[in-house]
Amino acid sequence: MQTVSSAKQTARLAAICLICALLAPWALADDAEPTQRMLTFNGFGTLGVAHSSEHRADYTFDNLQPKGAGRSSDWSPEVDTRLGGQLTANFTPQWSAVLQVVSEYRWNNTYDPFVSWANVKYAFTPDFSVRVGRIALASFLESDSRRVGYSNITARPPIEVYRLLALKESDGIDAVYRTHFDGMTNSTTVLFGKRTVTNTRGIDVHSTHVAGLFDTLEFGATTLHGAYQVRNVDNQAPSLGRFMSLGISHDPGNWFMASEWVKAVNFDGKGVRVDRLGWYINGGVRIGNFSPYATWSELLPTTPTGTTPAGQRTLAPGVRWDLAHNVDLKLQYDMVRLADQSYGTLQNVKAGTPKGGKVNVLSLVADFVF
Amino acid sequence: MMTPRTSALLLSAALALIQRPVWADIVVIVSPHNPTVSLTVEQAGDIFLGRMATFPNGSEAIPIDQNEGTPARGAFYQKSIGKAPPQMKAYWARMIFTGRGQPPVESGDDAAIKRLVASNPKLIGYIDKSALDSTVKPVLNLH
Repeated sequence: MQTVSSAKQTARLAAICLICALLAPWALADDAEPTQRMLTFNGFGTLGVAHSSEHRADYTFDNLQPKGAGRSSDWSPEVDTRLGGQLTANFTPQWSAVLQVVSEYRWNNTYDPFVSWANVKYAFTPDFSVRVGRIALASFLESDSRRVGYSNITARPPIEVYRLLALKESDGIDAVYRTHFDGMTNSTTVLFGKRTVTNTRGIDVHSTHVAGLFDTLEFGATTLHGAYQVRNVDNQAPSLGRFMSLGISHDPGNWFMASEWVKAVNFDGKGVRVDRLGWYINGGVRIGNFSPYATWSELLPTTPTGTTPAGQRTLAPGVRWDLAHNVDLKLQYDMVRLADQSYGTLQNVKAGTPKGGKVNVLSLVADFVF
Repeated sequence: MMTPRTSALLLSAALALIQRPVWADIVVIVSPHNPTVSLTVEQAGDIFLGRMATFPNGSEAIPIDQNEGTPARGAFYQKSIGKAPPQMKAYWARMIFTGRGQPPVESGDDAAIKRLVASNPKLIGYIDKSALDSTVKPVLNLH
């Protein structure tokens, strides 16, 4: 099963590479006219290592990573390292298409590339468009750019919050409507689709009837974001999963802050309702090319489930250094406090490891875009 | 032990705090055939950030950028949006990799921008104030 899907993926990737190669001469043809190129290729990536003080368990970004820092490796490249390439085609002012392929550490212990987005967009007006294909879910403030480290301040999005929804894309359709009033821009997105995510046990988790309403309000340096999403998940009984989030970011230049509140309501296989709440606040200043920052984030299980509720909170100071054109370097120190009687978000916990306590994680990452 | 290089870095970081770069005066320009009389800083910012695709009268607006590294480009974004070049790069990385937009097309220096804007009422650009002449119409001054 695994071999088949991996062969399929390789074939798909080969096809994409061939298309890129055939279209490359086009992409290079630069017009003197100030029009967008028909084809643009952009790339992004992160090289990172993370070190954890807890050697009896793994610190991972989310539960789709089978191994991480701590038990599996002393300095883990798996947590943050990735490479992505994106082809954007502007056929006409109305028709455009996006194809994004990403290689990152995955459920099957490989970096096999996969298609993260592939959609075609038709813009009825500059402010109203419809997309069909594989589309990023705008569930979080930074969800659509979570893989592009260069566009974010911190080493990685706060894991207590961003792990609450493993579903990052959906195959289907969405419509975006943008309005302008009093110097504000509001974008409303309605989405419908489905998507299958494979977990670290190799089990395909099917999400169907994924429906979402997302809203982003931008004025000056401030962005407000809200999301409400429902879906049917086949490993839950009842199958309904709900997700909601509210976020704010403010970035006037010399300083910046962001905060997000997220709630996920799901059921386990036995019909027990599991409510999880996550939130964070991040802030920092810009001093020349250095941006020191700190993030406080917390994951709270809000309903007793019978099993051990995973809770933890983290204080993570760090610094981003824009050291060269298109390249940044980040150093971050996560001080994780596990909830009593909990392993928090730790994975691969060795039997006999005491619950609760503290874990410190040191991360060094380099992000680039091209 | 602090190496001389580390000290130099720390020193330059500290200096960056005190020394604010002195930016040139910038004017935002459109074609004389464009009916737009003036724009606010917010309107110009929204057009160059890709949030707004029209002039206030509803006609199509296409922003064009000076080449990366020109003094006018740094000054324009610092004064209109308050973002330094790396922050603008990060902003567009986010827009590009979400399929939400492409940055304005890089179209040259003051002279090239003036030439393009003069003949096309859809275009909007920015130049150093000293390069302003009657071939184009200023709609916003940024000091």
